[in-house]
Amino acid sequence: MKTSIAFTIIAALASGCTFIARDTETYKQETRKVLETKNSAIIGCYDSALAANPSQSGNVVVTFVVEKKTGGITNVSADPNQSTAPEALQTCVVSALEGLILDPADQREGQATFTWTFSPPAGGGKPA
Amino acid sequence: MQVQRKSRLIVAGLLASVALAGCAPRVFADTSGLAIVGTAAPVEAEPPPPEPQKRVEVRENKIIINEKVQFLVNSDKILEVSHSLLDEVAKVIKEHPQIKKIEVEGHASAEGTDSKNQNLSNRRAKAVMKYLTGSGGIAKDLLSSKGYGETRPIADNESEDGREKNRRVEFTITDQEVTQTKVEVDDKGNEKVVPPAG
Repeated sequence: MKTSIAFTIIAALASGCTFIARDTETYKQETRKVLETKNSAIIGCYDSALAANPSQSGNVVVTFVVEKKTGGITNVSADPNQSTAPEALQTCVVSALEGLILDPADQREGQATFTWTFSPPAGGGKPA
Repeated sequence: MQVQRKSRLIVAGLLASVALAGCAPRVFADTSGLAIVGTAAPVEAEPPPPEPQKRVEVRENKIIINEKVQFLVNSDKILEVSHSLLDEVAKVIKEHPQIKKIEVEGHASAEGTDSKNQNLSNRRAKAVMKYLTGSGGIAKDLLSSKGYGETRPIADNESEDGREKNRRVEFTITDQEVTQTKVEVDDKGNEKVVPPAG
């Protein structure tokens, strides 16, 4: 009896979730590391904004889903209500995050919200 | 029998809760934010300032002075303010050994009588020559002087501005081995002396 119960539990777990299971904090930290691989692209986005406005600052709040099993970061979008940076910068950040993958994938889907804060370099940006 | 049924129910409940708990999405928000600091764009190098106009230049058969030699009014006494200019003229002459002969020309405006202007321009030309051969260290046989009075105006003698332009000293090269200087004129009319190649 006990054996059959154990098998049943294992089978149920195996059929539903075969990937690693992170706790929430680990999930967040590891997702953050993946996002940070795009820092240079995002700095490029910001530098373009600075070229137009040397004192430009603000933030971009981005929400996305980390797909379970594949780890693909999908449904990336900027939250216009919480973001204070110009729309062009928001769009650029969202584009920069396309195609990212959390590896290894998690057995659970992640529903994430991350915020990028932008500030000009010390001494100001490019002179107007 | 009843115990067995209870056990199965408990197991089923456990399975359901494990499955649900295991696959429920993790919802997280990183409130600390990813800080992005812009990289300072390189400041565009400012164009080099235009070369200041030289006070003294050799052009073809002239030593051009872009400043006036100033004299005491109605006198051939050179004002001290012009000494550095004449020192520079002497320096330029020495830097151009191809120059063999220079005439120092004195010119006057039409103000006053012809003879007075002739005399004054002559004396002023002589005074400049004397300065160049004295303080300037230029060989005497290189220089000669001549006063032209009011005979060669370069501006209108009807206006004070024109008369001021006409009162002048010029240096004309009357003999030289070769003229190597070229002057380029850009589309704005600015002239620039082109040094000889090599």
